[in-house]
Amino acid sequence: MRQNAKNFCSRFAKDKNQNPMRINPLIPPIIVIGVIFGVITGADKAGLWSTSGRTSVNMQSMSALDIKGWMTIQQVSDGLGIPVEVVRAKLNVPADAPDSTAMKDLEKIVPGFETSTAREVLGKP
Amino acid sequence: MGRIFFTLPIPFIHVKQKESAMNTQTALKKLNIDFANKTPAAIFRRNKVWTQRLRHLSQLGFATFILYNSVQHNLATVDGAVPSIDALCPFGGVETLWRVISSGGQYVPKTHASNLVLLIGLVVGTLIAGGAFCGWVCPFGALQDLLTGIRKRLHLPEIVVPEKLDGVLRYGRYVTLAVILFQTITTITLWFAEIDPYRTLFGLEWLFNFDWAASAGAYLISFGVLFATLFVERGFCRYACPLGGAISVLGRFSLFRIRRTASSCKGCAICDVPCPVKLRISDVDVVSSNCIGCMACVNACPRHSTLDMQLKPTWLDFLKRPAASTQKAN
Repeated sequence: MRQNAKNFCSRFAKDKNQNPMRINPLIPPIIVIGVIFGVITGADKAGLWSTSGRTSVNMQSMSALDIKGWMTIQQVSDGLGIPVEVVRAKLNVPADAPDSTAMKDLEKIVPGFETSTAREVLGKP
Repeated sequence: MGRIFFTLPIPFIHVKQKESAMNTQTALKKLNIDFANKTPAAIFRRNKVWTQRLRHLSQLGFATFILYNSVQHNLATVDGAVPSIDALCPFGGVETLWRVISSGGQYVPKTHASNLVLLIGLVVGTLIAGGAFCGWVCPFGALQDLLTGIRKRLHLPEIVVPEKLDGVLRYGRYVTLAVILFQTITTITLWFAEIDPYRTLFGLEWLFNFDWAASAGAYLISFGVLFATLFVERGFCRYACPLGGAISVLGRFSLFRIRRTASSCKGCAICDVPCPVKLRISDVDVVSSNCIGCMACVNACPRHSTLDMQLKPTWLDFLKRPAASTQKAN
């Protein structure tokens, strides 16, 4: 019995000498998946996890390239520091559309209008 | 399967004495010796099955999550309620990183903080454990594995790319990565998103909002990639995936690497057979950083402690070599 136990232990010792750095093949994928979820959880707790453009734009220092479909005419005007009247004129906004109209809603109202055209038109000096 | 390996020799030895063979098996059973389950080869085989099962389960889980998210996004009536898959891709972080640094916090349109967070997680994970993301997480990799499974089931031929051509084509990933980064930085738009086969297929706009006129290029590219991948295993990963290119570069510095012990290797090259990305494993000491970490080669190796995942980065070899040469000189 004791001899069997000795053999059993020595077999493991021999393996360990052969490859001291050998690890279970499942460990790398577990680490990769664990790290990704860990970083997401950490970012979420720190308030850094955001999957929406509504929180990823710094309205104090935005440029025309940062105009999003969800932004209203008023938000674009405030963000770029351009008067609302100028924005409305450049984008050919109809008079009956309020300043709270979002860019993506303008696409339905103004023929040929897209958010990308707003970026181009308002980006020009 | 495990039982077949060990019961085969008995009928081979006793071809004309089936009765005798049966007696041998009965005798082994009586002695309570279960060769089929306890031998090292049987343990290898069982591990192989379980590792690959877990891998496919992981791939299925992530692919289902992305598809579920896409369905929710396409059906959402409130804007911004469910994120698009653009927000859940670490490659978006690669694309928007320069913009965030250069503009002091502004993102390329359609990318968000989530992209950068995922990128950080991927970079840290890859630096520790190599390219396991491609083999265990990436939904597009899962789709390509599914296509390979279908090809094998239908007994369709596999196109084997000649080794020299394969070596050249593998640089395609870095070219794709460089072109995408250049275009994204200069145009400040997600230039690749318009033609990205992953986004086209998993975004499900082809299902909810099919628009041939606007997205013909994306549909054709996606179909072409799927068709090619059906015959060339993991073709997109090997030759065109920009994220795979970035992971491959980082993977060179990873702490965990698959290493072959040349002294105990018999050169059977069985390890080369199951590799989805067709790496040469049987004649290298350290498996290339193009490895997707599926562990199929480690599972396939029939010799104990010959092909292993080891906590031994390659840069440690470079550090050790000068020390060894100094010792010799002394």
